[in-house]
Amino acid sequence: MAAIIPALFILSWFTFLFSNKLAYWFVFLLELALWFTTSYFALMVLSSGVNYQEILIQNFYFNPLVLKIDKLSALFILVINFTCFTSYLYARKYLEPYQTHKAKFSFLLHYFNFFMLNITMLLVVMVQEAMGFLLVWELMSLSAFMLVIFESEKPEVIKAGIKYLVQMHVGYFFIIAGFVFVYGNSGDFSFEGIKAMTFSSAYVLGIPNSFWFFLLFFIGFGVKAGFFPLHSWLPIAHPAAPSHISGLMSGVMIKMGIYGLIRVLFNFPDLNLSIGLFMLSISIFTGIFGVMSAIVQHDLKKLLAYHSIENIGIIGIGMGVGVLGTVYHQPLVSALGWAGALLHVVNHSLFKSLLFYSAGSVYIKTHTRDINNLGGLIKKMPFTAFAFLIGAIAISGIPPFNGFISEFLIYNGLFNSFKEVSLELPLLMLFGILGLALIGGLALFCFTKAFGMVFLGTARTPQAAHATEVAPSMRLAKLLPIFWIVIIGLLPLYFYQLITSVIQEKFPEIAFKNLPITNSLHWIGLLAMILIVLFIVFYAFRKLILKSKQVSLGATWGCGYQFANPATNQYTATSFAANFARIAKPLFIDHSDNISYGETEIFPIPRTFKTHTEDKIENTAIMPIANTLIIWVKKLAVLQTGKIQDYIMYPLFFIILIVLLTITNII
Amino acid sequence: MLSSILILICAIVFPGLIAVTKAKFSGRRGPSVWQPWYDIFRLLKKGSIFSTTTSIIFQVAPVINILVLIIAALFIPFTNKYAGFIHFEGDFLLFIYLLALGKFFIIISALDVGSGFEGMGANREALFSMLIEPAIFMIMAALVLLTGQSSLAEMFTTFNLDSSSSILFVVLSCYILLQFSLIESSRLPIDDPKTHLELTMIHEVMVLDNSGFDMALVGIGNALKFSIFGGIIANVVLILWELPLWQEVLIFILIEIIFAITIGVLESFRARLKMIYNSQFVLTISGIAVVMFLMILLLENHL
Repeated sequence: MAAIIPALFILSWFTFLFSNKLAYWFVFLLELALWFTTSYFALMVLSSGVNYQEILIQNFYFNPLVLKIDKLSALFILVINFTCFTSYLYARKYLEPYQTHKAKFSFLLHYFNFFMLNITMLLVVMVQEAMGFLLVWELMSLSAFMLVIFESEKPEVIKAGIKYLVQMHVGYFFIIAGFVFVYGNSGDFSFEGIKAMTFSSAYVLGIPNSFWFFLLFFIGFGVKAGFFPLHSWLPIAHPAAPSHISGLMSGVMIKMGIYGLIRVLFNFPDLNLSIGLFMLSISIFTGIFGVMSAIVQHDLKKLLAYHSIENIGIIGIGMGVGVLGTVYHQPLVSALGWAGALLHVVNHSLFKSLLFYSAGSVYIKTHTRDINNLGGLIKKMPFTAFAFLIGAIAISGIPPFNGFISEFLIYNGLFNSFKEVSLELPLLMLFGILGLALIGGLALFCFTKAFGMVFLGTARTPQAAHATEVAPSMRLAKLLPIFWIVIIGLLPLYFYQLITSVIQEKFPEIAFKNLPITNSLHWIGLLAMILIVLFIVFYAFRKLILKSKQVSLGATWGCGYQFANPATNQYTATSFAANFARIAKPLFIDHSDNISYGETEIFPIPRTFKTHTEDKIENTAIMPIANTLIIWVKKLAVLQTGKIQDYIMYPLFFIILIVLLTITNII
Repeated sequence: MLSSILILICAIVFPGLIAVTKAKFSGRRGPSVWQPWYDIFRLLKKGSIFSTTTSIIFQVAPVINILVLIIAALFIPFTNKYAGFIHFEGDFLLFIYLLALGKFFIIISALDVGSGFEGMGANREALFSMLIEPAIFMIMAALVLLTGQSSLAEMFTTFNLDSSSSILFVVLSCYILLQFSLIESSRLPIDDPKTHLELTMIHEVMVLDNSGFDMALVGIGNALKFSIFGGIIANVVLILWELPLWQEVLIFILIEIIFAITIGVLESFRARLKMIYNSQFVLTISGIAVVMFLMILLLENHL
């Protein structure tokens, strides 16, 4: 591996020498080499008793770079590789329609950056030393930016890309600041250094010092993960990116933020109540906010992007439970929280990429992402509909699929805290339970809407009526996540063992194999199988009965009225969300663009009516800060004179300042 | 296993009992108790008509719904004597989420016919079931708190009535479960199953286009759902006494019957809420459940 990774880095530049088609396969070869080597090491670490494996790469930015694969990294490596594989598989046919009007170079750039994103994400989870970590982290953000702006001729895509880039860098500075603190405190410029940190018992604003330190990392990694209120790039960048990139970004790239937070929290020397409380409360809010925003969205990909925020919330709830369990000395609660969070990372990467691939298939066949313009696609694109349905059930946390398993683990952690007589912990966990229950219900609401409006009923526009099924390779890219979604649902015990082997090192006192939850998971898997078998039997029985009966076809019941237009007479996504939007009014700004009739307007001119909702949080919390910042930054623009002499003068001043400060012993 | 059988038996008389009670209170002679089942048998014999708009989802949904309810019935224990056929730590979570699976399919099957009416029903069902979900979680959380166990069977075995919070739990959770089952099955006050106006219906409007065999499955499903909730209530009430088995069986059935009659009485004297107030009402029930949990938490800690 020490030789392969630098070699692949260099080889990837040759992508630009090939034609479009060859470049795809060339990058595919490089990817294969990458997937096999890294997955091999990951599997080796996961299956063996060793806790980690170290690989040295000589001369990486003039220093030897240590790649450390521990079990946590190994888990993430597998997730990254699998999603990259399906995403790349999906990309070939998805990008085909663009070939008519886009230059060859943008494809080559896309493939190249795809490879870069993959390799940098892998390095992010392998490099624990801060300098290297920061470098690959930045490379990852940049390559993702290049992937997002694939359709750069569209102004909104560029705008979304810039927004993403700026927010990533704001987060980046917080991560740097966090690592600088680690270095200053422990003398070790790495994740490992956090372990050696000592915090004074000083309180700032009534909150312990260590919390403020954690907050630096939380903001830094939280921007990437999309925690509320740092989420605002997500619903803009995801719809702008090509669908396989949305799936990849939502499935694994935002999890790099989660990875960073897990690393920080796993190494944290003294977890205290304020950190746990903060993680839990902000995650509950993130989850509920994400799913509520998703319900009022009519852009299919934006809806899915908001669901990523929701799922980050669920993962965060698991992490919050993990921290609080440690704080209150209940290792079992803590372990179940962490296990649930980690398994949800895996699960979300599967069903979210699946959902984005399905949404992308709908988009390239109908050229619209507006749910209100779709409908009836299950008859035109049966496989895509099936894939979306599986993803929808899984993401709503409903058995017999994988989403339920990770939520079950988190719930178990939450409920386990009730078994001890204490007041504080159950009270905190109560909010976790309420939050998760509400998120589950809302997700069901949202995905019945999304699936029902897009795939069921009658086509609302001609584009939707003339859609066709996508190419086989795109279908295969969906089939692979479906396979794992079902397998995790049917055999949850194996995956529980996999996940617990990752956190075993942190909880040496817990014998995960003997916990009662193994019995529960065994039953859940068994019941999932029974459910599926019984369903097949029942359904066959029903078919048999219907065969002997008279079955006829007719129109949908229209209250006796025969001449209604089936396409416009249906419930729309807007109407489905209407009564919910009324409840959730405080969170959103509802716009309806219509011109009212003028008093003298005897013959009304044709007019259109449009409604859309805006994120109030972004408009009231983020934009004012950003706008104030812009005003101040503009004032700084006086320095930008455009004269090269001035620009040479500035460093000169700076050097003089440094010299003066050094002479006077100030620094 | 015993309770599952009892639930199945009770499900047979349940819809009839409600109908008879309602008829008696409105001064009519009313149908026989078996009338709903005559209807279901007639439907089973009939052929079906499907809308041309529908897809496979419409065919699959009634089967999944009934299957899920049958499996859910296997979770219910019989007081502290017999555990449910399926029991493990955290089984109530699977129980709740299985019901959600059935609901998911019923909702999308309503959207499958592409009708404005059924969209309305689907939407309301999704909204109200989402708002009521915290209530059942709170009842379960209270049980975990009171007993320190997390499987339905263990909970009812280890429940003791020593503390005052137990009485509070029994009374309040019976009330919440009653309202919960009314909301889950779309009965008064949020929905009137007798109404003839599609615009104001919830559950009935979702199955407007089902016919024949599928409609029969929906009917059986409704009866079963009621009976399952009645079974949970019976369990909660039966914690109060320690009785011989045959008496407990009798009381179990009696409670189911009382439950059915209560629903009939409530429906005779209650008016349907305005649709716009429904979400408020549903949230209130969830709110009561949260308050119940908090009270028990405080009492258990003897503050």
